[in-house]
Amino acid sequence: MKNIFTYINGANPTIRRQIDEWNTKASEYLLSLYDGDIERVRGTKFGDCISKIGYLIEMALTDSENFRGVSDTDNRLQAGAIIENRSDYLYIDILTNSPWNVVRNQPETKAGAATSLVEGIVRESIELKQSGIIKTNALTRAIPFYEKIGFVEENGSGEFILTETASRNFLRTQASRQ
Amino acid sequence: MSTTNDSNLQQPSPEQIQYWKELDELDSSAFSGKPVSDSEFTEIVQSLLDGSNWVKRLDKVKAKKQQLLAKVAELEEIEREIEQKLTKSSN
Repeated sequence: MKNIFTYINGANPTIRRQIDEWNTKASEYLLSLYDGDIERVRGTKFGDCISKIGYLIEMALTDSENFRGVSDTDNRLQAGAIIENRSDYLYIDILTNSPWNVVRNQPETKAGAATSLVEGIVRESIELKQSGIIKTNALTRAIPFYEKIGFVEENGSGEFILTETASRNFLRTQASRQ
Repeated sequence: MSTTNDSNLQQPSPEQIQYWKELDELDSSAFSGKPVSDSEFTEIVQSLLDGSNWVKRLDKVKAKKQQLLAKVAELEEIEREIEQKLTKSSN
């Protein structure tokens, strides 16, 4: 069964406090799951997550209107992103799941948060008359995720695009999952 | 006479179920953004461990606050100038 998320547009003080909580939680996991050993974290999914949280915190402060996220039914922030409106499409500049969704099996873990966040961004692109077109630079580890949604790499540039047709298919698939 | 069971028609196909299962598995690996270098990564993790990330954050908040205060001061000056012009023209 699909988890229910609410799309968040912009970072207010409550959202910023929740991203700070991610930071605190990431520090805790770093000690409890990796013994504070930098080399054990390097190259892991959790390592990717903490490297993105730092940027997300910074951007949520300086570029708060471009923050997008999803929260669960307990109003807990589950995934976050910074987007740019590039006239013809929306560009996902930064995207990460919450730390508990990356290490998983935590009391706060909710599957599907990043997928729901991309879905919200696609819907926003449609509202902006951009036909649901989204672009992003996916980290290597994330390529299978974006490809599963329907993104394709543009000319080996490392930039991935979700075309109008692919976004329509993605939304249809998401809608059929209740 | 045959009947149609709508609930059966809406059952997801095995392919759809498999697709969603795979997407849920991949969801925790969803990251976008510029990759960080080894030295940047070490710095990020180290600052999380020693708490210096909060000091850096505070510095950034203060810098942003100064920037906004400077902007407010600039706007106040423009406001004064316009008010003076209006006062002169009404005299």
